Amino acid sequence: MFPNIPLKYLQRIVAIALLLFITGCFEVIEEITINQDGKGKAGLTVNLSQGKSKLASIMLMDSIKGKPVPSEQEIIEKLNEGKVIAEETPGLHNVVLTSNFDDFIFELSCEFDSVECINQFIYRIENHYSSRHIPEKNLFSFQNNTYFRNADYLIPNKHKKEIAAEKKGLLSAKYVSIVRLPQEVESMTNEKANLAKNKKAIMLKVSGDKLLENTHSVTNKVKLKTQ
Amino acid sequence: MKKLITIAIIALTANAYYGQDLANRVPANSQYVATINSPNILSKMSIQEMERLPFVMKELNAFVINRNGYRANAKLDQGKGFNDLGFDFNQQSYAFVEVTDSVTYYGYIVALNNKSNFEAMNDSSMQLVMDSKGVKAIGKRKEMIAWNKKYAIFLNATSGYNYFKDNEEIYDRYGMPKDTTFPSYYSRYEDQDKIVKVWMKAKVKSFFGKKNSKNAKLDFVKSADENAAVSVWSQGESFASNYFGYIGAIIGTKHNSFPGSEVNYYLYLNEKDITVKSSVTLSEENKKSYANMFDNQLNPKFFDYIDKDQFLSYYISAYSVTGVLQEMPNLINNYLGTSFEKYGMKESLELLSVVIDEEAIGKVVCGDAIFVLSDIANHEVTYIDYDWNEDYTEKKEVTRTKKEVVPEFLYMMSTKDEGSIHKIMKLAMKGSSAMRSKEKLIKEEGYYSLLPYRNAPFKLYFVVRDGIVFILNSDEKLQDILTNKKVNKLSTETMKDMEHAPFRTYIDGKKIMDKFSKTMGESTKSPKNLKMLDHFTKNVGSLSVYQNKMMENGLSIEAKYTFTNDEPNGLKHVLNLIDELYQMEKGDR
Repeated sequence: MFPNIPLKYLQRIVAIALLLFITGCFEVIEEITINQDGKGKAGLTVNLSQGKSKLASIMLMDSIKGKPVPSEQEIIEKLNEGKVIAEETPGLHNVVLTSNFDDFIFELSCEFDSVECINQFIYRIENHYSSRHIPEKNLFSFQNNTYFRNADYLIPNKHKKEIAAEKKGLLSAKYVSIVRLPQEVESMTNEKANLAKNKKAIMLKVSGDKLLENTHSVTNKVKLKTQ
Repeated sequence: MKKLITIAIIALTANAYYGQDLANRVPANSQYVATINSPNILSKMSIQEMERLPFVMKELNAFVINRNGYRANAKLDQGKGFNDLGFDFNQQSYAFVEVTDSVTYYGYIVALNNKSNFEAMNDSSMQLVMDSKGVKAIGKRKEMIAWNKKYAIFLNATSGYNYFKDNEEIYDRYGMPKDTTFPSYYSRYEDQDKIVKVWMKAKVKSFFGKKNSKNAKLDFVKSADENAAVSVWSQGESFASNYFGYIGAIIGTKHNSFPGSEVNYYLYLNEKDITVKSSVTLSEENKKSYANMFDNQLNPKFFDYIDKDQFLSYYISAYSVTGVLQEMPNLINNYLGTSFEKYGMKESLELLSVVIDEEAIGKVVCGDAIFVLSDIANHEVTYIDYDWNEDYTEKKEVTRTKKEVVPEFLYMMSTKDEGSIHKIMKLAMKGSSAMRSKEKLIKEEGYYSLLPYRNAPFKLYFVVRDGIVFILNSDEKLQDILTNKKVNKLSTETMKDMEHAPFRTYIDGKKIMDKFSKTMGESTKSPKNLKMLDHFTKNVGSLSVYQNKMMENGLSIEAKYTFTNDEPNGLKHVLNLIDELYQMEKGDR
């Protein structure tokens, strides 16, 4: 035990000094690719690399604001739980998880039989961590040549309060949603969305604080041209 | 904060002809009494000078509106001056806290020179609760204001939760029927409020009754300093958690009891500084213990490594580890008293003092140390971002750079046993590799370095030489230490300050603000912000908080804010600085 005392003590000095002086931000990227037959690929990237110094400092600590800081191992275990749930979800295949602790970038990707299978995956994840039953939500759908991304549930109301308390850190956070579609887009409902040059993909960038305030949303209903 | 400043300004402008008379109205059992000495204040800045400052007038108006109740017409209250308050600024005023087992009173007693002006300010939503023998009182919730033509009392009260829980018969005494719907005291808050109001009324009556002539001899009267703007007196025990937290931090004892008998605080508005002094009287026995614990001073060799141009702030502690270890059993015994003996802790601690060698430990860590914040600078760091092609089909990783603010520091502590320090470092090295710790401690040529976990932006270095253990995070400073590079010597005055106190914190406001403005992000650099920051940086002073060496009666702690701009005294410095910033914020400057 004794040899660790000075190290622990110094870890605190370093971590606290850094926390006082460094602010970080992060980016979440959601990518959906839908093929002609409705099958496709989905990926979620969490890029925390802008705040990597801060995170590296936090990782030195046992707890922050009274909440325990997980170790690398614990983070990997949690991510793997998510991966297993994805693998067990009907209609999802080739699930790949990558973790990069040098830059703090984490990525989960898979192939799907239909985009609605992702709703089932999220339903399973939510219920895995919740003590009470949470009904399945219609977050993604592709029916009748129309793609619908319903993001009203992106930040659950019950978490908004605690997230709002950390709002400062969210000012520079970013949510990027990209969807690649089999045909050209005829119309879409979200004015903030950008259409790709080939008119077959849409990118939507929303800052974290706007998401929280509900002033901007990732929700978009996209109608495709008929062939 | 602003409210406090307003109340302070108003309170500070009360004067002292009949001070003694009002002092006699202060409850004799008060635990805290603040004596506000206004001749001192008004000699620093007159009422007319204060009223010329828009900031002061804004706060005064806010106070007037508040006095009038929020429903009052704010427009009518514009342009009121200090004299419209009805307070007699030629008399001294007092604030007090009186704690009883059932209720705690917070009061403020101020002399009046214009009763009708005073009454015109009263909150119209307060109800008249007393009007007899020239004394009127109004009240709302647990707040009461009472006055006659000479003086007024503002009284607030909080009731003690446990008192009502333990003394349920109190409700019978006031003829309140028992509430059978709820079994406990929880439902009786309204009854409690009614009882507290009865007590407050009685309290108010007592203020205007017979004078408490004994007060002239009371400690708060005797201890008030006529050169201080404010003198605060308190019974020792009341300050236990406050003061003992500071001293006790060294030995880690609990805030159970307090070694001193009384604590005094004084605020002085001097020509070049604002100083708060506090002193605590100690018993003979405790005095000896503390003298032994503080039997050390800062190692003068530290000065060879501190560059006068590279310090923004420092923290010094110089106590004797040997002394603390020797006094520990006595002190803990004194503070924990009977419970300490009951559980056999006394014996355990005595046994420990036989086993441990205080002298040997005191050689390894002497107890004097300094932490210097030498710089705050922007460091460039890289991060990963993504770019997409125009069809959003390809995601490309790109490396970008951004600036992060990193503090540079130097920590030094004395040792008389470098060998043991090296042994500890060796153990730490073994420990970090055996435990597969996230960081690695490595021995290099003449120093140790702690490789940080992944992306922490700096390494930490340890050097053991010249009877000093150095801990620092600057590569440049490390080389300077290893090559014995000479530093720009500190001024004799700074060195004297550093050597003088067992504890000292110093913050150079100007230098810190200067560094802060250089590291500021572009988004915050609006012309108004820059102007305000520039004005503040030019005028802000420095702050020192320190404990003096043991004095005849006990200990004393001082906090001194020193400024160098042209203002003639501390009061004008602070008010003019705040006012200037206020006007810049409003866009008037």
